[in-house]
Amino acid sequence: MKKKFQKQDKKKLLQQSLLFVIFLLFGIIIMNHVESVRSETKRQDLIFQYREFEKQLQDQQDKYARLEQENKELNERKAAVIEALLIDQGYDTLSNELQYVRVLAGFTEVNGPGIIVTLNDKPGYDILKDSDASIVHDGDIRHVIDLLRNAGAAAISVNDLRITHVSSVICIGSTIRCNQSRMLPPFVIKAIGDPVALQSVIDGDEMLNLRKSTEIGLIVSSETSETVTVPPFMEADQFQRYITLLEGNTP
Amino acid sequence: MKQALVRNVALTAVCVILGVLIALQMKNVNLSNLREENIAELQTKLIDLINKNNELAERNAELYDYVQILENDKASGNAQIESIVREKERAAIFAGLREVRNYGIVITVQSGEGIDIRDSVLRQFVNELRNLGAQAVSINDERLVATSEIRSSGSNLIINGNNYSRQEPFEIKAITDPKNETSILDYLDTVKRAILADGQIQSDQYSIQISPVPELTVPALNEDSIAFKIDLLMPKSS
Repeated sequence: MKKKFQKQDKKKLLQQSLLFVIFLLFGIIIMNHVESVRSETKRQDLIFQYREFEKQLQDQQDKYARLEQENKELNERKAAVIEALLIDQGYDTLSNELQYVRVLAGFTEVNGPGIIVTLNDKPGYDILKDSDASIVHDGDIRHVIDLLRNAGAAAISVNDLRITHVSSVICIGSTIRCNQSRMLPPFVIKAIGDPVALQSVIDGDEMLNLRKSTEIGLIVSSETSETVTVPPFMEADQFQRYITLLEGNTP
Repeated sequence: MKQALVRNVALTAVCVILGVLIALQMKNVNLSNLREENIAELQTKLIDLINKNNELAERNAELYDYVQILENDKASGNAQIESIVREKERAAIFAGLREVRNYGIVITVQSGEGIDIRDSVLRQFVNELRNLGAQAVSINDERLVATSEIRSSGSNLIINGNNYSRQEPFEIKAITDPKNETSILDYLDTVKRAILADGQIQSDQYSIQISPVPELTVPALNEDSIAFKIDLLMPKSS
């Protein structure tokens, strides 16, 4: 009889211990869940804020595209009015000279045969697994520009930003800037020149070939075309800011 | 018996709830890892773009006014030719068609005896000078424009289609803002030290001098220069 009671006590103790563990676990999880709900609320706020900023950013990007187009049209209108005005008044030579100088300065859109080179980060780039060489750096863009210049390019642009003698491609923080603008990958470099010569320097470049190897996986693609369009220098209407140290200092 | 059944049902219910809570917990852990830094980054981009839009809107307004003036001039037959000539002159200065003189920086690069200077070293200094806001740059008095090549070809270095011996010193001149002299010189000195410390080119025994000059002359590039490749920019058919 005593043995039977002892056995029942032992069973009861086991059940109580089990219940204790389950309720303890239950309590911990409930607490954790409450905490999660709290942080979830905070996260929801963050998501809301993020989406709000994303929307504002999109609006501003649309606005920028409109303003950019307006700027392009106004510059074209200005050039057309000046040309008509000069011709009307018999200043044909001045009109031609002005047009010539504007072309040399990079203030006009130019078209011709050439090449389009695209650089992009390795698809699915993972900062923990992949090499730093798998993403595009400012030096890579400069390298391609230098290759194209050395192969006789007559006009170059990166992501539709015209490269002039005052242009610099530089990394500031996590973004690459050119001509006061932030650029995001893919980086599309267009150049007008002999397509065969331009393609040859890209194909034959050791650094680019190494970077696009399977192990590194950087995207480097190029195609030649009979008509490549290189846009004008976006700041052509306010280029004076780039000659502040030069103007008035010509002999 | 009944008590045991209630107990078992209660225990089962607790275990089910526990299971659901664990699943919820795991779901929460797996949710996107959006952080405040992401928002800060987005905010920076947004501010940058707003500033850019404001600046562009202002520029467009000025441009619009100028176009209006020109159109009125055209209508009245009273053109401000002088202002157009001035604009042409400014564009020529920007394009590198005019010799310019001002305060600037001179960088002299020399390699060890019998060793060729690398084109990459000169390109690096030119890129850095552009980053630092140089308004006119020349190498060995060859004015650099957007399409000027700086490339080695055997024992020569080709700039604007002209050959220079790679064993002679190269002189880079740049017109920079004197107000930023200290920061520019400090930065160029960092570039110089990085070049001299580069293991791959240490054997070239470079000697690099960087000095500010109160007045230096950067020559013009002739508009017929091969560097402009005008035949590609202005095809004869157009």
